[in-house]
Amino acid sequence: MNKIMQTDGGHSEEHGLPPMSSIKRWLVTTNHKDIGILYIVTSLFFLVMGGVLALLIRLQLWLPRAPGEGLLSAFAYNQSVTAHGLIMVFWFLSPFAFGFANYIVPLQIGAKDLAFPRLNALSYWLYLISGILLGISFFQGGTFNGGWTVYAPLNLPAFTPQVGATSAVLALFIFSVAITAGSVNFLTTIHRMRAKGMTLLNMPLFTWTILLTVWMMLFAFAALLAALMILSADRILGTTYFSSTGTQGSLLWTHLFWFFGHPEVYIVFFPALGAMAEIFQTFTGKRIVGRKWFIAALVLVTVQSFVVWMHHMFLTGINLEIKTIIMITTIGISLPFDLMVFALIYTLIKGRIQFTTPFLFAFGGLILFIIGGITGVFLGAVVLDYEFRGTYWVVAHFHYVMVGGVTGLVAAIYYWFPKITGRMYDEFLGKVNFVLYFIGFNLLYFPLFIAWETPRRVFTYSPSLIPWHQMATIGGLILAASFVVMLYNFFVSLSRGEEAGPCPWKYASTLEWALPSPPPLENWEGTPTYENGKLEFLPDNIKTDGGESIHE
Amino acid sequence: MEVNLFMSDETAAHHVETHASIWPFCISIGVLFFLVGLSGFTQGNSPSLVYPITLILGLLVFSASMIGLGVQRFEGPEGGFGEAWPFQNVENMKTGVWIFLASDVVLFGAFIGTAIFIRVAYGWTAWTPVPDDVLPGLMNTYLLLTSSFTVILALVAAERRNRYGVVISLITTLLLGIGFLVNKGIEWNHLFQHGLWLSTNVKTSTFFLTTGLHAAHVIGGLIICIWLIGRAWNGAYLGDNRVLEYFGLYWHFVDIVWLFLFPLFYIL
Repeated sequence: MNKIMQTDGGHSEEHGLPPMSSIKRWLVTTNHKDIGILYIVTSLFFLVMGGVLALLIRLQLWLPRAPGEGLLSAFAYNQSVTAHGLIMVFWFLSPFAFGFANYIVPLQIGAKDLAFPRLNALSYWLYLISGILLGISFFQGGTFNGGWTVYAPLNLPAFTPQVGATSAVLALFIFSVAITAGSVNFLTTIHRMRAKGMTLLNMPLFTWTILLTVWMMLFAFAALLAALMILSADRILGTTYFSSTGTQGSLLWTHLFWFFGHPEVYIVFFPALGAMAEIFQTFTGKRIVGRKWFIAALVLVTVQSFVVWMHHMFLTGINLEIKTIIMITTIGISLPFDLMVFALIYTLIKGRIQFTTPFLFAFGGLILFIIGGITGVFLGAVVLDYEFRGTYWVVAHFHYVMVGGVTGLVAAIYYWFPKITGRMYDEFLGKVNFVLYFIGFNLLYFPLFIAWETPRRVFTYSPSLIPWHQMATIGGLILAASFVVMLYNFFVSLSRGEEAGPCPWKYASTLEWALPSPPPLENWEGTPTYENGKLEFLPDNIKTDGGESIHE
Repeated sequence: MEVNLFMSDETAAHHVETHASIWPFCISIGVLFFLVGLSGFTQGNSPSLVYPITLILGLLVFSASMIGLGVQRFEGPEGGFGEAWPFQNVENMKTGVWIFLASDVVLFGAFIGTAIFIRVAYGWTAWTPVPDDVLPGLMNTYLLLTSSFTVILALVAAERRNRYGVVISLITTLLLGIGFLVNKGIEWNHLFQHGLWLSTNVKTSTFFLTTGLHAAHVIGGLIICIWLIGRAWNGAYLGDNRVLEYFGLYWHFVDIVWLFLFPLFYIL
């Protein structure tokens, strides 16, 4: 431990990298920590973008209005709904999680960087330009306006003729390319570059969830890539995949999309789950109960996630036998989640809880996920789904799950903020943030369960539901305010926060907390190893592969 | 992934690690322009000249940056210190290539599955293959199979430290690949002249797009092959033929995909 190199500004010219204060540094860097920061900052921009669109939607829904009345035109409303969904699912949630994955995973497994650093930089830049392209699409006659699922035949030029709709599809396409490159990189890194003694079973849970997430990404995004290539060809070259065989063309799209789309739910939720597990362990001072079973449950969900996709298609023409099988796999996939939820709860019971901001968010995330999970079971049952499909029940359910995941990731940013910046955030503001967030969240999404008869994606609804929708709009504003508090807290703490030191938490046990905050460019001197049952840093010159290393 | 095939064989002597590369950024800028240009097309046509110009500009930036990336010396970290199940004896780059191929299997799987799905919806027996002649496809099958064989010859030549053997084998691979593309070009041109185009009907759509995706993989492989020939000419890979092996993995995969496409689109 005492071998760790200390950070100091004088080292900033090393490895041909300009100092962090220079813009050039951020254009040429391939360092996993730099790229992690780029991901986090960029994804927060997309959070604001998607959030503003959400507020526009909520303000339009203050009253049920005729087309053209209120803030948004009908076309603008449809664009907002679509782009809000796309931005939050693709450009905010996963990249936010992968900011932490980039920064933390190599540290947790004892690797100096990802296996392919330049490919990692390429993933980030392709992600950024895909988001910029989506932004451009708004100015090319309007972005795609057929809903985030891009269903056929609405995804064809006959229904969405504007150039911007094609740009949005291309943006998704190149985003998928970036994800695929990132998956290859993370899989190679986590499988190949762990320190001695860091076996798969010893791996920290956050790294475990990222490993399983990238496995899912590798296969799910390949299917989406195929779907988007075909759709791009239909739009740009004039192929007739989705238009020529009648309803079957539309069914084809749903198969391709949901083969990706259901694993995607776990892809966005797993990193949050992993962060929550780390945070629960740190702030209860207790190793997670049933750790092996927790990991087994994660693996089971990963595999099973590829055989449940048709529960998004109960209202299509697929036959009842298949629907029944899919209902069974769908209800079945909630069982490993039950196990994980109980493992987390039992860890709380057995440990001694410290109510810090990260813990509060992680705990809040768990509660919200439980509500989201239970309401999802309703949708997995064929008969109930006939009733609920296309209503606000679906909207409320998946916001509890997805934004429940966001809650876990907000916990993660509070948890790792001291590691990444070297400064403590303001604990009081953090708690204010949590209270606003939790109240705003539930005020926003819970009334949507009650107003479930509202048709999804439509801006008019029964006047009897007005109070619930107004409640939700107020909740949305409070939730937005909570993010303002968060960003203010981080912004101020960056310069004025207390020095965090290597580890501000009493019971943190993963490798990143053994390093200075922020860790130096090379992470550590020597080679980390767990060979003797505890973390040690061996000097480089006794490396067994005979390689020669150069030091500053 | 092709990107990373370019630099793994120089891990030998000196170990000055760099962390800076401007090329990922430049490549992405090229891609952005390319895609903005592409967005203006419908039915293969663009109403204004702005979009094609943007597209070509993007392509130029992209190509130049890819060359920059390929030429740059860059060393990634190594792996395999501790347990690395199930890739204990598979080094980083090879692991990466295999994992990439796994995702490419799903990509082609989705394309092939889609073609079959559409054919079932259309009526399996009512469907006839788009090319009226099997022969060009059959010739291409042999060309591609032979080119996979010559990659193995390059590998063996590198093991025997035979520089000319490596270069000639790779050039043969390149020529066979070009032969594949030329043959396909003649075949497609023939179909175009019979009024068959991507947008003619759903049969031609699946035929041209699926085999076109495969052809794009062939082109990508040939670009890597040209780069390998350049390196091999300067004496690379002798004694350390790992990069040739990784290219071979990819090239065999492209070959195997064709073995699925050929019967599906020419015979059945």
